[in-house]
Amino acid sequence: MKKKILVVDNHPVVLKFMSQLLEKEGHQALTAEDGLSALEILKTFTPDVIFIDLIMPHIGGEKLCQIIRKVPSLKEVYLIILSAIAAEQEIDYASFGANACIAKGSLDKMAKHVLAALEQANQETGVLHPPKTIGIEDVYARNITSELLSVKKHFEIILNSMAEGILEITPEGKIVYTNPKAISLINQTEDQLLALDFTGLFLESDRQGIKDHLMEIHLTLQPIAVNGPLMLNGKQVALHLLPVIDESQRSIIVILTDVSEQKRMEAQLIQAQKMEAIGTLAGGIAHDFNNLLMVVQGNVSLMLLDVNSAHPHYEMLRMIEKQVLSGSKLTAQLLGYARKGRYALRPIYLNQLVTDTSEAFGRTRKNITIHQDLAKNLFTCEADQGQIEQVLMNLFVNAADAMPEGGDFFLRTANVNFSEIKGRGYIPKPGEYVLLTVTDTGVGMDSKTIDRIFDPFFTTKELGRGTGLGLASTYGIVKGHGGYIEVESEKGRGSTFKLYLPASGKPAQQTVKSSAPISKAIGTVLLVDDEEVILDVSEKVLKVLGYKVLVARGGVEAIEIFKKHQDSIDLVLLDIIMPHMGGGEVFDRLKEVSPEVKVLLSSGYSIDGEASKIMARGCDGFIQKPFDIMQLSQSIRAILR
Amino acid sequence: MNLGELASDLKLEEEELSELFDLFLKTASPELIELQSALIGKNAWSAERMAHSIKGAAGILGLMEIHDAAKRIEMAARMNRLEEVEVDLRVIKKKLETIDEALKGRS
Repeated sequence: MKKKILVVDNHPVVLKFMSQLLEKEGHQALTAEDGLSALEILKTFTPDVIFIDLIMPHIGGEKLCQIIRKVPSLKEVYLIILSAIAAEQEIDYASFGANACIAKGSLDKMAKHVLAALEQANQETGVLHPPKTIGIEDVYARNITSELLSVKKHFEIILNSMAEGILEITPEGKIVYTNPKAISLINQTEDQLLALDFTGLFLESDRQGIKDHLMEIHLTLQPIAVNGPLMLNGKQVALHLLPVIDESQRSIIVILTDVSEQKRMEAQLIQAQKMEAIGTLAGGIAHDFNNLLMVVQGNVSLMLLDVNSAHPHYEMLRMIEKQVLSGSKLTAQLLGYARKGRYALRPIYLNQLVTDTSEAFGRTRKNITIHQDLAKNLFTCEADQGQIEQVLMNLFVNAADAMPEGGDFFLRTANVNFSEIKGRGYIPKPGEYVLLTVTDTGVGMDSKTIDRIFDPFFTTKELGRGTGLGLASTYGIVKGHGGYIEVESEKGRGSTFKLYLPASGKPAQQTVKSSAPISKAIGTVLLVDDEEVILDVSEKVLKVLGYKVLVARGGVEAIEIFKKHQDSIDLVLLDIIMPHMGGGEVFDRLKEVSPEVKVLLSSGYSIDGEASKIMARGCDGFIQKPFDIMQLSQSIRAILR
Repeated sequence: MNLGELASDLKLEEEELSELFDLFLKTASPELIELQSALIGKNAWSAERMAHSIKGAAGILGLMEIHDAAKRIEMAARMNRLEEVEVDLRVIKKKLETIDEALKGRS
């Protein structure tokens, strides 16, 4: 029976010999010099028998058989391996779908075996038999290529172990080799990938660029790095294209590196740097504003002392005082974001704070039902209570704004170990944490909004309603406390914020709010600040309170005055940020002069941790500008008591 | 070289064999040049591959002298002893010339 036959071998002598032999027998024979060309021919030619060499460029014999067996129209084709390797080692050709195997030998012997195999094909029509290589007894030499084969296997093992995806493609872009890592990166089987157009794996928008690179490498024979990154199967990858120049062919090795994680880290770093830069700016603005508000507040306090409630200016002065308070809340948000306002750390019990704050909040938003699920035996956490209240208020206000028609609001606290925190983009420090989960049933957010919600001045609220500082300061405060914040949300499905604060082993301390009325005080205060207007108003306020006041316009002057009058000075009210000599150094020098000196720090701002550091060195107290007469009185009395 | 005899040994027509030899010359000649430059450049890996290729085709065609010489070059290259291959290189060159002459004599 005459047959349609395809012969696939990379040696022209074998191809010529086979076509001579087969055509002489009356068969129709086509030839292909490698696996890729064979697949091209098989698109339009369905043979009865295919002779296939094992070692070939551009898709070897074994892979070619596997691909052929997956093509429905070629399932019945009779596959005969024709290989020199068969002379060297046993080949389990049935395992990759071949029907017979002939060891290459001299032409006369090969001719005999080829014809015998065709005869066998006539009888078997696609039935697989136990493997038996034909012609081994006739080969002219043994053990020639076995060493080469072991070298090849060794290289295969190395390629299979690579962490990078490695592909070999033809200059036209057809894939002819792929290692396991590439297969897993692309997420297609090897059979699907071989002979596939490489550029087709990428987004339509990237394809032309890749084609241009392939053309360039073909012309210049220089390696090209495409750090893009390019999207491939949902991952970000970088490409390295390396030209391979063989004696007989050219191809391109593609090294695929998954850079998704690296790119994510880079984006995170840029985001962190951006937040840091804006934080510095925000902190600076807050500092200047607080000093400015301090002057306004101080003067208003003094004026209010001179007018009674019937005075026509009384209400206006109260209004100014109220606005100063609103202004100072805004700067507190800025300082929170800049992580530069954390001063009064002490162990607090979060459940109590959550209950108090949510109750106060609930009274203002009657259409929201608050549900609490607060853990018993919740750990304490070391925190600045005022700042944590600010965080809770920010989260509550946002949740309420997300539910304009009302809704449900869930507050849950729990103790968690760091191993349970599955944060995106950070590794929590080992230890125990207190978790507060705040969930609303509001409008939710899309992923673009989520990406930006912690950015300062980003708001989705209408003009005039949102400052864009609430969540930014929340983020800063939580970070400043060594904690973590996460958000989960979907458009139309509400939002959940998770707040992790490091647990403290210390028992909670109750705050004592003094409400002692202002009364005439006795004593001498050394007032130290570099700003004339602050000195002016503070001096007046202190005098109204009954103190004698000594004024120093900087650190050096403060030390001189203190040395002269240390016996009469009861307290130093010390600014932190001053030119030439800052509050920290002044404090240390004062302590050298008199270890008993009492110092109250005051600042509109603090270099990150500076106030805390001075406090840790034994300073007696801190007061945040702007302060009113009552706050100053209480702070001084608390120290001098 | 008696092509008729060789063809008869391989159970081929003389015409068929001369076509195969012609093809062999066309592939082996550039491989031989590549082999020589690999030896000059002390590129053992390339020399081994070229020798391996010449050996394979010569074996199929029953050109055992070329086959054996190429095999010895392949082995020497694998052990990086390129200085030992001079004689075998001459054998291959000589034999290829003989084939070339035989083919020319036919035409």
